[in-house]
Amino acid sequence: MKKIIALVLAAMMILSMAACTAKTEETTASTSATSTTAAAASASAASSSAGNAAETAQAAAEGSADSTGWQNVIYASAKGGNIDAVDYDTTATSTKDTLVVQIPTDPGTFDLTYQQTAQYTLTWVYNKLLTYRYDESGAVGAFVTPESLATDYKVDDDGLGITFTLRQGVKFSNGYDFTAEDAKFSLQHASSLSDLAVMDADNIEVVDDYTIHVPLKHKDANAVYDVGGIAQMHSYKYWQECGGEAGDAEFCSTKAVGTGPYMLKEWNSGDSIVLVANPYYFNDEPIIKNVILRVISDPSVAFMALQNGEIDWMTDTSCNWTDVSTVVDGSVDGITDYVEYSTTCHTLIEDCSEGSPLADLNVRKAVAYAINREDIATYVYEGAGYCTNSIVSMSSPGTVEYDPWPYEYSPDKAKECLAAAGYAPGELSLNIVIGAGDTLRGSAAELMISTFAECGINLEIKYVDIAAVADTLVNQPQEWDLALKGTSNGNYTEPYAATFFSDAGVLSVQCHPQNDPAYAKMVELAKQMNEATSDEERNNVWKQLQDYYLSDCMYSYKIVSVVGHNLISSHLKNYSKTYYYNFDVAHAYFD
Amino acid sequence: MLRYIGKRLALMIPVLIAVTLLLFIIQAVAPGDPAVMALGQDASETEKFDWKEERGLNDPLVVQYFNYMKKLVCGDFGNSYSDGRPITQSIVSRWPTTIVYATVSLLIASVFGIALGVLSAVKRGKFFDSIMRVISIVMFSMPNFWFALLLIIVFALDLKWFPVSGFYGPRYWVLPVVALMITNSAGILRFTRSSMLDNLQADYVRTARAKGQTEFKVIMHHVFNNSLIPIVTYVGSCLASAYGGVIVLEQVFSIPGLGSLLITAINHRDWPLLRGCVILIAVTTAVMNLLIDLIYAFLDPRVKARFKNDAARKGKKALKKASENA
Repeated sequence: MKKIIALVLAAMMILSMAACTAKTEETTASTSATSTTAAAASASAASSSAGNAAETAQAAAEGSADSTGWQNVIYASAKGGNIDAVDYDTTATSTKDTLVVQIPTDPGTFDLTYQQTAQYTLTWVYNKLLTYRYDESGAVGAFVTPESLATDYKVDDDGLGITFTLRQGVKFSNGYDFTAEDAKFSLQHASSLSDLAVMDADNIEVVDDYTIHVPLKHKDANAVYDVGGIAQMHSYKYWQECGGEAGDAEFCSTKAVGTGPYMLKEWNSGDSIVLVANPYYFNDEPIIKNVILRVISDPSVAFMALQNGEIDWMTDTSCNWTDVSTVVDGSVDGITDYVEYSTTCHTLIEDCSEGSPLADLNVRKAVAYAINREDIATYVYEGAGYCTNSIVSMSSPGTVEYDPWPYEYSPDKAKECLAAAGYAPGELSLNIVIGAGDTLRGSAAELMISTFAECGINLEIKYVDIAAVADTLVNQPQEWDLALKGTSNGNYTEPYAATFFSDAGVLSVQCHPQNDPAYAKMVELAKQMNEATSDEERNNVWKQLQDYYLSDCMYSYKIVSVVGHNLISSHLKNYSKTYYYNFDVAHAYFD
Repeated sequence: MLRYIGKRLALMIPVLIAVTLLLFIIQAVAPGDPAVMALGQDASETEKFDWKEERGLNDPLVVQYFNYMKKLVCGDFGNSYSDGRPITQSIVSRWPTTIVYATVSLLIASVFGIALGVLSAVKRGKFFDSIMRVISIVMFSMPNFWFALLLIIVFALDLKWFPVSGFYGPRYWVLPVVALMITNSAGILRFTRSSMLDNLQADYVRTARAKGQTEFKVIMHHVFNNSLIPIVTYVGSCLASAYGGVIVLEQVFSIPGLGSLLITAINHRDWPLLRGCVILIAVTTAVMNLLIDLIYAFLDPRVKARFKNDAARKGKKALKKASENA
C-alpha cells in the first residue's frame, strides 16, 4: 500500500513537471499606452540646462466675472491656475545631511494605481501637471506652482477638454527629458483610477513637444483638479526600457524614476526606502541631501525612536494621542507637534436598508439626539478632534455650520422620537461596528453606550477586523446597525457633498437608503449641485440639500472632525504642509 | 536512510495540497476585500470588479484553486496584490533575515539553556536550582513582546546603549536577539533539567559511579547524551516555528523578516503573498522535523541500528524472493 502511494505521488510530480516545461508562453496584452509610437518620444527634445527656477505661469482667467458656463466654473473652482510660491530661505545650510521619516508600512510601490498608501511618499520623487496646495481658505486646489510640470492650462469653451502647456527643460532623474509624450503616457497609465474616469484617455493628443490636449467624456467641475493633480509623471522611454507592461510593477517601485526633488537610491523591502537629491531637479536643489523612509509599524516604538533621535519625523498616520499629549504638555523635549486641521472626520454611518430599525426616520432622529458630540470631542478625542455643527467637514466650500445644531443631545427628544417610531424606552437594541484596535472610536462608542442608555436605547459594540469593516458595511447590512468610521473629504473644486450624496456615493453604498422616501430627492439635489454652472448656484443648492438632509434624511453625518498630528524633531526647519498627508521637505534643513 | 528521507520528502506533497486547500477555504470565508485594501474604501464597484477580474478573483473558487496549483508546480507563486511584484522576490528578500535572527537567537538560547539546565539538575534542591527554577518560570511565562518593550525602554531609551529598532548591524541585533533568546532559553532550561533528572536516577548511572567514573564523565558522557533526545526535539520545534517568522518581535523591532511580511499580507488581504508565506512555513516545518529525526540517528545508536536493520531486512527479503523465483 505504501509503495502504491509513493508511486502515485512520484507520477504526479513527473506529470506536473512535464506539463510545466511544455507550457507555451502566454503573450501579454498590450495596453493602450503602447499603441502610441515610441519613435518621437523624448530623444529629439531640445535640451536646456536643468535646475532653473520655474518661470511663473501666466494667470488664467482667475474666475473673471465676464466668463460664463463651464469655463468659469472650472476656473473659479481651481482659483485661476496660479498660486504664490512659498518664500523659502534657500541660503540655509543643514547640520545634518539625512532626514529620517517614519512610515507605518512599506508602501510597496510609488504608484497610486497599485496601492493607495503610496500617496504620502510619491510627491518627493514625482511631480504632476498641477500641484495640490491649500489656499488661503484652507481648501485644497490644483494650482500651477513652481513644482508643477504644467505652466498653464486652458479648458475648452465647451468644457469637454483641457490643454496643458508643459514646463520646458525638465529632466527625469535618469537624465531623460520630460515632454508631452511622457505626459500623455502618464495620464493613460493612471487612467484606471476612478477619479480619472472623466478623461477620454485613448484620445489624448500630443499637440507639440510641450503641449497636450486631454479630451473629457463629459463636463465635470472636478476635471482640472483630477486630471491635473492625480497622475504622477513617468518617463515613457524608461517604461519601455523596463519591459513595458511586464515590468510595470518594478517600474513603479524599485526602479522608480521621477522629476521630483529626490530620486530613489535603494528600496529595502519592509525596512526602508532611501532617497537622495535628484541632480536633475528643475528647481532649487534640496538642502538635505538624503531622505530615509523607515518602516516602523509599532507607534510606541516609533515614538521612542523619535525621542532617541533615530528618526526625525513621525507621520500623522502613526501618532496616537497618548504620545502626542506628552509632547503637548511639555513632558518630552526636542519634538514639535505639527497640528493640522485635516479634512478627515469620524462619521456615523447608519444601516437604513429595508427591515432595519434605522429605516424609520424617527429612529434615526432618536439616535441623533442620543449622541453627545460635545462630550465625545472633549473627553474622548481631547486634542485629537473637535466638534463642528455641520453634516460634513467644514473644508467643503459652502458647508453650513448650524447654530444651534438641530440635534443637540437631548434624552427627552430622543424618547419622543422613539415613541413616535413605536418603541418603548429600553425596547430598541442596536449594535455599532468599530474597527478592532481602533481605541479612539472604540472609546467614543463606549461613551455612546451610556448616553444611548439614558435615551432608552441599548447599544452594543461590535468589533470587526479593520480590513473587513468596509466589506461588512457594504455587503452585510443585516450584520450591523451603526458604524463609526473615518471619512475624508473636501477638495476645492467640488464640494464633497456632490459625490458623497450621489447615487453612487459613499453614503448610498454604505447606508443602503435606496428604499427611503427621502432618498430620491437627496440624489436629485446632489445631481443639481454637480451640474450647477456657477459657484453661487451650486452653493444655493448645497444649502437646500443640507437643510433637507437634516430634516428628512440623516443617514450619515459627522460626529467629530479629526486633528492631524505629525511629531517632528524641533531642529527641523523650513518644511511646509502641502495637502492631506504631504509635506514639502525640499527646502528643509536642520539647525 | 536515503529511502526514509525520500519518503518523508514525498509526504510533503499531500501536506502542501492540504495547506493550500485550507488557505483557499479561509480566503473564501474570511471577511475583507483585497480590492478595497488596494484601491481604497471609496473605490467604485466597477473599479473593484475590474481589479478582481484582472487577478482572476471573479472566477469560482475551484477554478482559482486549480489555476493557482498549476502555477505553483512550476514554481510561480504569483504576484502580490499590493505592489504587483513576484511573491518569490518578496519572500527571498525577507526570509534570510528571519533565518539569521532565529538561528543566532536559538543558538545562544540553547547554549545558555542547556548549560544552566544541566547545572540545575546536578545541583537539584540547592539554592542555585531554586533560583533557576523561579527565573525560568518567570521568563517562560513572560510575553516576549512585553519583555522586548521593557528592553527598549531600559537599554535604548534610558541608557542609550542600543538603538530602538532596526536590523542594520551587530549593535542593532542585541536587543532583538536577547528578547527572543530569553523566553526560549527558559524553556530549554526546564526541558534539560527535567530530562537530566530522569536519567540521573537510572541504574546505569549508579553502575558508572560504582565502577569509579569521575562525576564529570558520568554527567556529561552518560547522562547528558541520553538526555539529548527531548532537548533536540524541543529546540528543533522552537527553531521551526522561529523560521516561520517571529511575528510579534519583528513588528516591535521593525525587523524586515518573514513575520512582518506575513502581517502585511494579512492586513492587506494579499492572498498570494499570504499563501506564499504559509507554504514556506509548512515546508520549513516539515524539513526541520525531518532534520530532527535524522539527528536522532546520530545521537541514538538504537535509531541508527534500526535503520541498518531495516535495510538489511529488506535486502534479505529481496534475496530470498530472488532465490525462490530462481
